[in-house]
Amino acid sequence: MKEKILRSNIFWIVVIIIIWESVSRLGIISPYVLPPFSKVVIQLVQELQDGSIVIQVINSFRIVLLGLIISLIISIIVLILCDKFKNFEYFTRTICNILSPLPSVAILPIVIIWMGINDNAMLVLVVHSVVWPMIINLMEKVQSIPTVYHELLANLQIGSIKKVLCVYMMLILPGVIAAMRIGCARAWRSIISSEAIFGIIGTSGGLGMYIYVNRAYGNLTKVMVGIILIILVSVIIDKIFVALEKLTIKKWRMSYERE
Amino acid sequence: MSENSVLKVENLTHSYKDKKNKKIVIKDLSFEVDRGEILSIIGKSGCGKSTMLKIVAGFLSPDSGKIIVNGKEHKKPTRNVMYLQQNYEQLFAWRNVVKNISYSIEQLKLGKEETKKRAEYYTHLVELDEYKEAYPNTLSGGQKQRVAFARALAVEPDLILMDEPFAALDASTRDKLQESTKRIIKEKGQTVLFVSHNIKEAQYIGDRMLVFGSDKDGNIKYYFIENPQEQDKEEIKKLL
Ligand SMILES: Nc1ncnc2c1ncn2[C@@H]1O[C@H](COP(=O)(O)OP(=O)(O)O)[C@@H](O)[C@H]1O
Ligand SMILES: [Mg+2]
Repeated sequence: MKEKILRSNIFWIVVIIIIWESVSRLGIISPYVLPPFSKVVIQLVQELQDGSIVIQVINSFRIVLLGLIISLIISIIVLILCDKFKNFEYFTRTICNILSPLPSVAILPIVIIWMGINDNAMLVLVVHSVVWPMIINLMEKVQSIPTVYHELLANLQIGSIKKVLCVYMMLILPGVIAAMRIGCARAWRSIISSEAIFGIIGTSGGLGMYIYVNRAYGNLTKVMVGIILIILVSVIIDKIFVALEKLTIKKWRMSYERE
Repeated sequence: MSENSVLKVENLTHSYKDKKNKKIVIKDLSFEVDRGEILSIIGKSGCGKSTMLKIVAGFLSPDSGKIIVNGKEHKKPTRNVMYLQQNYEQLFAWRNVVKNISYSIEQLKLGKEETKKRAEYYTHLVELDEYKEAYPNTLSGGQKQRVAFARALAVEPDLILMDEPFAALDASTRDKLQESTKRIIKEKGQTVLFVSHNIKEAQYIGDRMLVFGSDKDGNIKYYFIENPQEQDKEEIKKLL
């Protein structure tokens, strides 16, 4: 079944590439509007050999990773506070519901005014795009833990910090990884779009800035290279998280989840 | 209050309220349990046995009445009164059998050596030496329930509350566990409230029996039966 899906995926990608290449080569669409696929690939290989684009990918990714880690730490602290103070949970829910639909591009101007143009501003954007949905997500996972565990932990008089860090996080580990995966996708999107719209935000440009600059120069082939790289990186990240999730679900799966 | 008593329940009353109705589940119940005694508790499904245990454990506050454990009022959950759930899916999947048992011991802060020794001892007590390193997802229902039992015992609390611990197991596993559980409780001199909906089980396990029954008019009434093993099962059934 899975192989079938994979095969059909590959088939359609090949079809799209063939159509792309031919419409551009045959002049149905001007190569200035749509550079042929082969040209984009050659450019991509050149850029990769040159290496500077790799550094740009790493730059973007470093901020994404840092943002993810910060978001996870914030989420855990919030979970601990929610466990300690019931009212804090209602407060958190309200805040998260207000802020999570807000695209990071929308708050970018404010962040720049507050923080200046630097990597920290970028980090704030990434954390903003990740942390609110992550908190809600993890809060729901914790609530779905069966009462037997909540009662057992109360019975053993486990404190909030230990409870959240050593038990809840373990009980919901597959959920934590799923939340990280969603968070990573959101962070990646947020950083690329902010860079691609506003250009240099961080001190060291990322992949989005690469697209921004080349758009300014009208180099469509390079813009395409940037887009393909974004797709590739996104797919690879997603695959890594899916693999991790499967691994933990298989090993960690609580028996209550099987019923 | 007798010298020996570990648990004293005084005039316990509890009701659940939904939008309109108020349903009284426990009505003016009082009893004492001595150290080392097993009090088995029997009653129809839905008559309030779990509710009573949860009040004793401190998970629920009663409408009125008092729970006194070792002379002190018991209002919040403590390690001193361990509640053992009916559901055997209550282990930590990422810890093996000994580590699951030692989890509760770790909370007592006895030091590494002592914790390990105690965990090994209780693993042996519930006859799971062979499965020491096994993870919960490889265990049978009966084995899981034994791990949970050992985890509660290992705290060495004043009182253990067992809520239909074998209800979810098959008959032959249940018979074996009844025998070994009673033996272990007696060996440790552990004080236990043992809830069951199976009269035979409650007769076998309990030194004394508390029946959540009803009188002729169907009102809540509690009966205490000494030496339940010697009583006729059918007579007990009539009280329900
Ligand atoms: N949280 C609750 N809210 C309302 N009613 C409840 C709740 N828990 C239990 N009950 C009701 O109280 C009665 C006693 O329940 P329970 O103590 O679980 O009975 P038992 O353990 O003897 O089967 C049942 O009729 C049940 O429907
Ligand atoms: Mg019950």
